[in-house]
Amino acid sequence: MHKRKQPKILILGLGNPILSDDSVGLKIVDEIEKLLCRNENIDFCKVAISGITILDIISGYKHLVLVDVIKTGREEIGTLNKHDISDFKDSIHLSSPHQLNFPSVIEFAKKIGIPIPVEIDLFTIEVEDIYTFSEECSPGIKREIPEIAREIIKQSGL
Amino acid sequence: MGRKLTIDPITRLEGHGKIEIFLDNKGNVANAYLQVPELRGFEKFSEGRRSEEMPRITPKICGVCPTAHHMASTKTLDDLYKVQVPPAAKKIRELIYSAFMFEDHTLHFYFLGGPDFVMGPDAPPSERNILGVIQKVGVETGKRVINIRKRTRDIITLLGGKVIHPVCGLPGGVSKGPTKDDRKEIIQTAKDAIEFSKFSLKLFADVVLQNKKYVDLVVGDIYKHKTYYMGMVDENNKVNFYDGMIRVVDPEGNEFCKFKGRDYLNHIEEHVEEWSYIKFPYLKNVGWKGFTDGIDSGVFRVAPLARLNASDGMATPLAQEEYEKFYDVLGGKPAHYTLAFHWARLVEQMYAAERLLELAEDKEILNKNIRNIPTETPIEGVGVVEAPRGTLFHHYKTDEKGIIEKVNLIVATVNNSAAMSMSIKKAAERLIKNGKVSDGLLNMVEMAFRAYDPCLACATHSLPGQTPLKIRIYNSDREVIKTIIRD
Repeated sequence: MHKRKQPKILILGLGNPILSDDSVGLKIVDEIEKLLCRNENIDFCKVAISGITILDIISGYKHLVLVDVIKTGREEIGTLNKHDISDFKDSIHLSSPHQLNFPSVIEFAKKIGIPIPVEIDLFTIEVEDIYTFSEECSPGIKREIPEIAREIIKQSGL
Repeated sequence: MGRKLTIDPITRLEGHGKIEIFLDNKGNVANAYLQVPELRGFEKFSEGRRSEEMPRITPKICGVCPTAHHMASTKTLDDLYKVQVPPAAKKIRELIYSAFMFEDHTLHFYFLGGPDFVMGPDAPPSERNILGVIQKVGVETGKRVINIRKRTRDIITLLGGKVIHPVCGLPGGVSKGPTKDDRKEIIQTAKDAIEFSKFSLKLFADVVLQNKKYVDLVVGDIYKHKTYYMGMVDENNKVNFYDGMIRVVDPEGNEFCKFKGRDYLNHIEEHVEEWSYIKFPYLKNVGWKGFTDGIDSGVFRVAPLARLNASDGMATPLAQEEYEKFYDVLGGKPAHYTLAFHWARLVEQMYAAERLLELAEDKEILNKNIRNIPTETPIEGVGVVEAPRGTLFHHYKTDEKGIIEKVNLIVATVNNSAAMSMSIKKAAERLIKNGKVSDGLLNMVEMAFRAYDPCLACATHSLPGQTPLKIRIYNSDREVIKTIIRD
């Protein structure tokens, strides 16, 4: 049987599909998939995970494009930001009751020899409501999703 | 007017869970509360949906323990449709659940709670994590943790039908069982899991129990509360994660009550405070006496330490040995030491591994009769499991077509909410005297709530993925006079 070769690129949307704007990252990955359809070099994945579990998903790819939402209250709703892992470098420690932060996950993987992407693009979108159970996101952000998807494709050189 | 001190996590979530400490006029701790964000509208979201959807919806509430919600929800459907589950299906469900409990407890010990001990409570925060643990115990241990965690997770994926969120549970059974080859692999994984549990318990014994300073910290008054304890037990009053009666013991260790999941409302009520979205469950037949412990207070605890206290032992031999050692060292039952949650978690890790092997070796899991089709008209159902973080209740009411009309969930962390606030307060009292805040406040308070492994569900995929703490100290006019940030 022909075994499919693992693509080099993973586009990973993080979020909860039933928690309003928390699903925006997932919806954007859907949109990116539509725009880049039938590209054998790219895998698409949408999950609600964190911490060390992310390693299960990203291991083996060369290039990771990660899309998540953020709620800082300091940015306009719908703002897209691109981060480098080094943005979170100062917080390589464990203080959460539940998660190992992303830089620590990467550091951990390197230490024990798990293959991780050499190129990682982290995108966040400022959102409004992540506390109400709904499969719909806020209308204002919903309208922006196609444009945000195109911008992520452009900024990650896909 | 007193002063208010806030330990406020900075995450992507503005206003996400935080700790608030209120000081009195003399600058000593008056009250301390753990705040968590309110997730709105789950009941409304569920209303009008088919009840069969619930085992696929409820795991999405929480990215931390989706398998627990899936199993509680599936069991609720069994009760709702009054359908008996074939023995093979019950064993397959429990097998999946044992793999899940093993994996979750392993993750907590090595990545989350354990570093406090392995590295030591006085170690700098930058070292109190898995990277520090690897530095201390070696890269090979890290590889071993990852390997066994992945293989037990693979069991959940194989039989659960989907990565991360299982979909195998159906009212009256499961959607598929293992093949003979699957079974062989599960048996091997279970045997390796038992060896790994031995290793974990030895690590704990070497690093913690051989260190008087750590033992003193565990059994010290700062992390001690004499509360009631709740946990699920089998017919012999041994710990069971998947099925059984709910048993409660009082602070002296005597059985206070034992009830079926369906009767939970006769035993549990929820206290509401105006300052918190989280409710505070307490024992209805003792009563709410405030955030206090003792035999007259209805505050109870759940999760590993509570399960051990509420039971008469473990149903598997190696876990039973560890159970006996646990109480020998801690001076008998019940053990009231909050930091002993970590050790209890490892005793349960061993039980999960042994139970996984027992179920995998049982040929009945290959039986093709894995589902009874429901025929009864649904009205109301309750399902309970022991989640890693404690007793988890699901309760649905439907119309005669099985369309959801009402949903009530009491999630594991909520059961511990009053006790967590008490533990935080006690740690804070020790470190804040006459308005002077000791530098160790963050560490000690964090250790208090991390022992419970609280689940702040909506932060499960936070990009920074961690929760730095920020303390704000307010004067009586609510002006910030001091800020301490850990980043």
